[in-house]
Amino acid sequence: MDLKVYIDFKSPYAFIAKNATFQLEREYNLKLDWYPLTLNIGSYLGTAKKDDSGKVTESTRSPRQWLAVKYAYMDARRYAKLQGLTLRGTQKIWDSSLSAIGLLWAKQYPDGIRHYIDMTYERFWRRELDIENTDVIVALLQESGIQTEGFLEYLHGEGQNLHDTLQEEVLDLGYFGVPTYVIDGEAYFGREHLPRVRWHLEGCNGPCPDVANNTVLA
Amino acid sequence: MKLTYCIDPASIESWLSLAPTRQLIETTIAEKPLEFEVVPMTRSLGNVAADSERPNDPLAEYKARRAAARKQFADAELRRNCESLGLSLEAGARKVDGTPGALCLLSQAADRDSGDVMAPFLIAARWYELVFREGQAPDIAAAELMNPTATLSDLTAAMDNLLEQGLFSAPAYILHLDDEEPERFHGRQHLPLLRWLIDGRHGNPPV
Repeated sequence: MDLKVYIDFKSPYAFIAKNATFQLEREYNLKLDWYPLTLNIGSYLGTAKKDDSGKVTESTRSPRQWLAVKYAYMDARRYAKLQGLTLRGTQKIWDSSLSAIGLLWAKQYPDGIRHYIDMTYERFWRRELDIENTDVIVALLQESGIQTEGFLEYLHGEGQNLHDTLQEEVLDLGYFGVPTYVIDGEAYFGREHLPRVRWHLEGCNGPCPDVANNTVLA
Repeated sequence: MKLTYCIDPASIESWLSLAPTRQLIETTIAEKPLEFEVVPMTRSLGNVAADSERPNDPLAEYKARRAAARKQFADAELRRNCESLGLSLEAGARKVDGTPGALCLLSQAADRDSGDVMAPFLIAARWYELVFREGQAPDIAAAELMNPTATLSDLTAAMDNLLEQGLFSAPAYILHLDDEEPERFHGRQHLPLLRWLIDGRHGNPPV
């Protein structure tokens, strides 16, 4: 059964969903089909920059947007901590398109994509990865055992085109956030829908379960 | 240990949280002391994306398409929620004034010494049945439930109090474990983690 997963490395919620998502591969003996959905966070949550002390130096956010963002980071951080993951708040809105094109390249290498996804997420959220730096992405692909000959050409040509086309298509398909899981023609936004994804993978027996963050990592 | 549980009488998402939350509380109080309160919430943050709207916005088309994508998902979620509750789509999509139901819950909370400790759940469950399944007008549904003594001023004060505690949507929970800072949770998807915390953090946590 085909399960598509849409992610953005700069999303804290996609980050904390990664382990539960990968666990599906083990539980159901399937290969996930990963796609980038590059969010334009500023368009719906405003923009902000912080200095190294955490002080906000620029912001277009309303009080309501700050309330929503602060809660989201608090929530994501507690679930990250429960998984032994470090989630440091970002100091700006990053352009994650380069790392997204890296993901598209990595899809050709099933043995390396897990490492690429894990390391991009974990190092970015420890503030140890500049996902806007081409050399950094190339090095990460190589560390993941993914050959990078032709990647630069892909990055500025076919990969960029594929990425941009995908971002146009996803909106028309009704996908707007990450993680989004697509299975059996249904799109589920958020890891709280993983019980429903499992329900699909198990043949849709019985009533569709309710939402729950209920994955216990093995 | 204290659990504050906030529900929106106008929302079927809150209705869906009622039974599993009641089960969490009942099984907990069967084993250990738990103070709890059920508080209505009739305000929400609303559409925060609207705060980023600007005149002559170059992203206007993108934002419109994103909003359409969100609506597509919201419609699918409404369909799933209605199926879970055995409701027609029309019934589940009803725009309801939750204020009368909120006043009932506040009135019951003020009268906690009388009756079943689970009374707020009974009131809420009956409210949702009357308003959404039977299509009753909210004020008539509230009158059937009780003669609410709480006022709109009481409700405003309660909403202000919730916002001060950082709650801005429902269903929501504040869990205050002994010797720990209170924690906020927006959404019924956190119930597994609430259970794990209340039970004492045994085994790997649900994430």
